[in-house]
Amino acid sequence: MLPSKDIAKSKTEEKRDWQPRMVIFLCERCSYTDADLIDSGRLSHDSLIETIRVPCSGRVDPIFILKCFEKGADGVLIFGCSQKECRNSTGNYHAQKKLAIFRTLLEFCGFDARRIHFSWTATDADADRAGSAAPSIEKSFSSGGAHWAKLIDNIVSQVAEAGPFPDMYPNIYPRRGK
Amino acid sequence: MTSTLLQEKARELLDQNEVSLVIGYGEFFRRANDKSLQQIISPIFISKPDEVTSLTWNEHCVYNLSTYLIRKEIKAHRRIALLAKGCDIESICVLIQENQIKRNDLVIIGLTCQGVVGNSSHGYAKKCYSCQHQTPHIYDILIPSQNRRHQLMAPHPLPSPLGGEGRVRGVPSGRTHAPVKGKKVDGAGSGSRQEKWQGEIDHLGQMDMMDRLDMMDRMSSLERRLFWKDQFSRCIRCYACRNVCPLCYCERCIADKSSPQWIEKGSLLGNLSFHIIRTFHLASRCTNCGECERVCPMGLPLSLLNRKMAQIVKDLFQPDLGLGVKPFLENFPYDNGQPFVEKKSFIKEKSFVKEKCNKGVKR
Amino acid sequence: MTTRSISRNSLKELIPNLLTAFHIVAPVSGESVSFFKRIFSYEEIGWLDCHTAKPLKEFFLPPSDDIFQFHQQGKKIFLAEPMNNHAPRIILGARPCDAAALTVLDRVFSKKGIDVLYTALRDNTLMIGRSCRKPGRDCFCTSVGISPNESQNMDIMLTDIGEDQFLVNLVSPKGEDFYSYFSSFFQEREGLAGDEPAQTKEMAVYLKQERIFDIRVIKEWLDTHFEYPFWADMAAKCIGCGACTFLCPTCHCFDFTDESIAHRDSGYQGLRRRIWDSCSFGHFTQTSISGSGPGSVGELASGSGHQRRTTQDRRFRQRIMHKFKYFVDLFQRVACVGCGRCRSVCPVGIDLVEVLETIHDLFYQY
Repeated sequence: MLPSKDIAKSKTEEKRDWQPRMVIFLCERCSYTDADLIDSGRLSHDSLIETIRVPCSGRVDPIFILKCFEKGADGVLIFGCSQKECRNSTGNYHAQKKLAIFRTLLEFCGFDARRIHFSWTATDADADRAGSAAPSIEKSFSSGGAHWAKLIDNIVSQVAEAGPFPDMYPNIYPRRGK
Repeated sequence: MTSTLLQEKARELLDQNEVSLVIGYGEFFRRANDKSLQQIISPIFISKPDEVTSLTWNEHCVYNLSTYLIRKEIKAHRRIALLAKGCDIESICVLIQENQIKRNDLVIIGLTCQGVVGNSSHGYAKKCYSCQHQTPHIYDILIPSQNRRHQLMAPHPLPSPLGGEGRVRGVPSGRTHAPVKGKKVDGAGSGSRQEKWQGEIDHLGQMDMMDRLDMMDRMSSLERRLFWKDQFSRCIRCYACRNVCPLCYCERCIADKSSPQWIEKGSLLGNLSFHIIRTFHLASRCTNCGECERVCPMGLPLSLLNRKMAQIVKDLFQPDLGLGVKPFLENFPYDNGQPFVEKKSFIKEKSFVKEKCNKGVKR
Repeated sequence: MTTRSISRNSLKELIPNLLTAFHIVAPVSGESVSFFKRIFSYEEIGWLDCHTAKPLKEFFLPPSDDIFQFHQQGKKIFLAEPMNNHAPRIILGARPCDAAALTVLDRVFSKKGIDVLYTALRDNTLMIGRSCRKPGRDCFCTSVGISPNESQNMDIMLTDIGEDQFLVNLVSPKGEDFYSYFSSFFQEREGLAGDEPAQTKEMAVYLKQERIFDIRVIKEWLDTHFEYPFWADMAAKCIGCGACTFLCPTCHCFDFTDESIAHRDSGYQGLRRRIWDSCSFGHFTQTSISGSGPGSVGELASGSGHQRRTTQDRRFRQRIMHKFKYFVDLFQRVACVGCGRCRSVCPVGIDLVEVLETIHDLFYQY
């Protein structure tokens, strides 16, 4: 459904010889709009996007971001529900505050700010009102999908600009494959 | 005499059974290797009225005693009296705000302070130069100052009334005893010395807080990365910084968790994670008492990190902080109007910040 | 009787020659602390008046030592040797206290149970020591049986004489071997050294003072005072960090940690490390926590979660007991060399000498 593979490789593949490895945190609500992406059994080996489903964006602890970089990610994305849409009512606000200050702190410590992004998802109001995800997926996707794809593409290219994650974390064993 | 007044008040409190424990600064004398008499200040726990004669208050009383309020053995006491300078009382306020102690369970003996000595060879502690609370704002008993105001202006080694070299034990610097000769080298030693900044970095310990933040702002992202890599390669994970902090009171610290393990042990990577996460956990809570930097055996600039964190929170959210207000990270109006998207960077990064921010370092 | 000496200039010339074949480790003065480090030129050496802030221990018992690496394929696990570097090296400028600490470490790591990593490092090292001319502010080595110019575990001993000269003492066969290779850099003459360095005033005072405490008295008192209110008083202000233990040249307690350090798509790989641990830490004697406890992962962890040393005073007592009683019982040696680093680095000013003096007084009082 969501052509994530294509996005990662499409426009920019010709220009560079490495693929930025992205980790995307999706809250449960966001995940309804791209069930395809969640099918990580297929994606984890082929694609360079790893998705992690969390119950709410507020669950995303800053240590997760550090851990992602430690394990080889070049960029981290966190998607949260837009204002007032959070099913836990204030989880997205938690995320907003925490992650905004954490990102600036990481910048201060020498991380490139282009590697960490967070964004509101396309609004899921429709999906929620319908009561179940399935019939509304295409509907909300068609309304927000193009925006979504563009957003991810934009973010991936920013991460690519920043380059492969540098020797900030000197692992003993070199990165294998790119 | 200030000390006599202090001792009288403490004795009264204990005699009248208002408190069962007084935590204060104790003065002891010890003969050093060169036969000189050394004055030692160290925390003292008094439960009997006769023991108050060791209590003292002078410019060497640098410890933040509120760190003892989070311990189980101390909390078990019904009511405690605590000696606290203005900066220490800030930590107590945060503890009260976070429901770790009750205001009524505490008798705060406030100390009017005009500066304490951090590292005796460098004059007053850096935090004293930007002190807002020379007279404590919250207290039950007020003790006047014994310090001389004018010395705050120019840092210089204090003349000791006791003779000798005037060095005071109990105010450890964690540094070597002797003047060091030979070329200075950085901790990592892998050739990653930054020539351009090394002169300033060598004097990091003595720099003013605002100057340090300025220096970091002027560095590029890569230079900052190298700086912190160098610094944290020296960290030995002794956890002195965490254990001395009054606000690190988690019963199980994330750094100690091993299943699952979030923070690696025994590597630069783990050191980075530990300090970044600790700083983040102190966002809007740290009161800049400076203890973490003072106790670090390796001389890491931890105050710099914590001070920057406070600045970040202030610049991004301008929160209200204080006793009567909900803690910052718990407080979020529905319509705060701030988008969840990329925040402007407050580090002047010439190469990539698209929008130039004109917000400089505020003094 | 031959007197050997070497001038600083000769040493300066010798170093590049040595660097072609050995690693050289010497004290350097960092930004705010001094420590031992591998050097690449004579200029990097810091000629300190006293010992370094960080001890020499890390070169024999690294703070983070790889034991093995493991790799999993399907259900099989493969182990491999870690990538450790045990090149031959020369430690230049070790102080008597740091070198004497190795005797303590040897007892633990290379007597009955031989620790391969430690012994490899120990065997590959040539120690060139430097005797102390002045005591440090916090030194008390004489009270634990160490002398400021003793040559325990050294191969060659240097003594400062005058500005530019070192008196050279060959202590071990290894040292004599080394000397025979590089004798052209040294000066030799017959007869006693007429210019033996005069003892500095500070050192004379230090050596003349009465011993601050008698370790036999300490041991006797510790044998009979396991439970005593003294411990709570002494440890009341201890915050339970590891500064004193990590900076102690004789402290050697360790922990193991398994780290997964590779990237997901390269196959699962991990590393087992031995890291420094401290008896002051709350979790030091914590047994693993049972499946339903906090921090556990389902049925993987199962244990009692028992913790005997519940309060800081018990942990503090353990530290003193280990150094001055248990180690003596097991190995007939005090596990302390009197360098005084613990006294200078303690965040809250706990003084080991004060503790021991108090024990001394208590012993004679009752």
